[in-house]
Amino acid sequence: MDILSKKYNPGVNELTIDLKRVEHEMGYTENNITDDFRNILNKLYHDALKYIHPCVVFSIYPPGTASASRGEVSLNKIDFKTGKIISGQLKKMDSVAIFALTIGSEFDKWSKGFFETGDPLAAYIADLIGSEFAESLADWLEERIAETAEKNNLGHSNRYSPGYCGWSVSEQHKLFSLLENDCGIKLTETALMQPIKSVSGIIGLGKDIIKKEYQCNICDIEFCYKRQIDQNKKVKNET
Amino acid sequence: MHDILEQLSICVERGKVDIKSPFPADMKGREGADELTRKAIENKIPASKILNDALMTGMQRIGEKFGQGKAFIPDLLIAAKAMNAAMEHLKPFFESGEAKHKGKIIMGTVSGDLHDIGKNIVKMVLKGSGWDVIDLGVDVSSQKFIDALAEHPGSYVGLSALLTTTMLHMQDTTQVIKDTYPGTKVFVGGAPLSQEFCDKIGADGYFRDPQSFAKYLSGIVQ
Repeated sequence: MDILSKKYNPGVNELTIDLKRVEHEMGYTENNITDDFRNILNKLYHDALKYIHPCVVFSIYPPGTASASRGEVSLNKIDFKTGKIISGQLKKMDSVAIFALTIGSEFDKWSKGFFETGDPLAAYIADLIGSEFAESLADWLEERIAETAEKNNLGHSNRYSPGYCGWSVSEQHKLFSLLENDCGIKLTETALMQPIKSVSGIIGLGKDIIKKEYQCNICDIEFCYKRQIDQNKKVKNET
Repeated sequence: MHDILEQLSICVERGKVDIKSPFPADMKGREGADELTRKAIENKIPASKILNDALMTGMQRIGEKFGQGKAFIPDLLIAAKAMNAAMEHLKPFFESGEAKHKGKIIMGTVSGDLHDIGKNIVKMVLKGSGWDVIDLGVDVSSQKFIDALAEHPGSYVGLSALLTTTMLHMQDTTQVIKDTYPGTKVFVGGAPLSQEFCDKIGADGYFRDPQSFAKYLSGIVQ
């Protein structure tokens, strides 16, 4: 099996986002959003569809090319210092899919434009909508990778990205060097992606690997925002 | 209190920007912060009175609701938008000295980080609370903060970061600011931050939302 590289441009209609989750992010956790804000959210959601141009690329490396141990993932003689959390989750893999995806630069321009015209509310909600679409596109991509893995009788892991679980975002340069196609995502000197609503990462593949849902208890990063969100939820439930 | 000032404070609290604004639905077709501020000025109500008795009052009310969990970030933002529409009319009075900002704060997203949504939200709320905000943008080096402090001596500083990796730059920036301008108050905010992190890097305060930051700042200048 050679390296399998693919590029897709799924239609925005192939992606689904849950506007209830956006409401939740806006703070309305108990179905208590007002009609005014729900109308603004709905309008921005429909407007956003015009500016979202999804693109995904991935490369699946053949069995035997990848391994994970002691805080590192090795692929094609390149070592990623992912940290022990990720390498621990991927230790049973023997192949890997690397990916990058974006909802496009037009969305960035559109959503940032609201600040320039003095409408921070629209900018805030548009940003949340964009994040949901980027996550939805990542789910879409994961399904494609899972399908390919299944055809080869392989299981797949959760997806892991530089910048999370102790994997430095600076390693993104190495990750991008292994992708054979591109979606026009540029990396800054500090390895941040532009357009900003982009995701990159790896998914472990192997006969004995299974997907585990993301859990904060696999990770010991004290200041992670996902941990804080969980803590905030706990505080809210207790009060 | 003048009826016009009471109406204006309600417009700010509810986020009624101008007569064309469709929100809030129950105030559709009514004059908003824009028109009422102009009217107040035409009625010779002093700018400082418009600011303190109407605009700040409106922001304070929505801020209190936010603190009680009865209002959320969108409520703060729409109120800030109405407040800013009103502030446009008061600009000449700030320039003449007839009205005064509460103080000046320099803000920026730290070096290496391009995320500006959180910083911009805080900026809007602080401006709406009467602060003069100097926005340095994103990916701001320590030197840029130092240059801004040289230009605006005595300002407070607000640092923003979204990533666990870039938040580490806050430590260097805080240190450089404190070494160059001892006594400068540096505040930090952003999704991955915590009070523990703030203490660890020697910053003067961490705030998890824009309203608690605005409230704290108002408290220290009173």
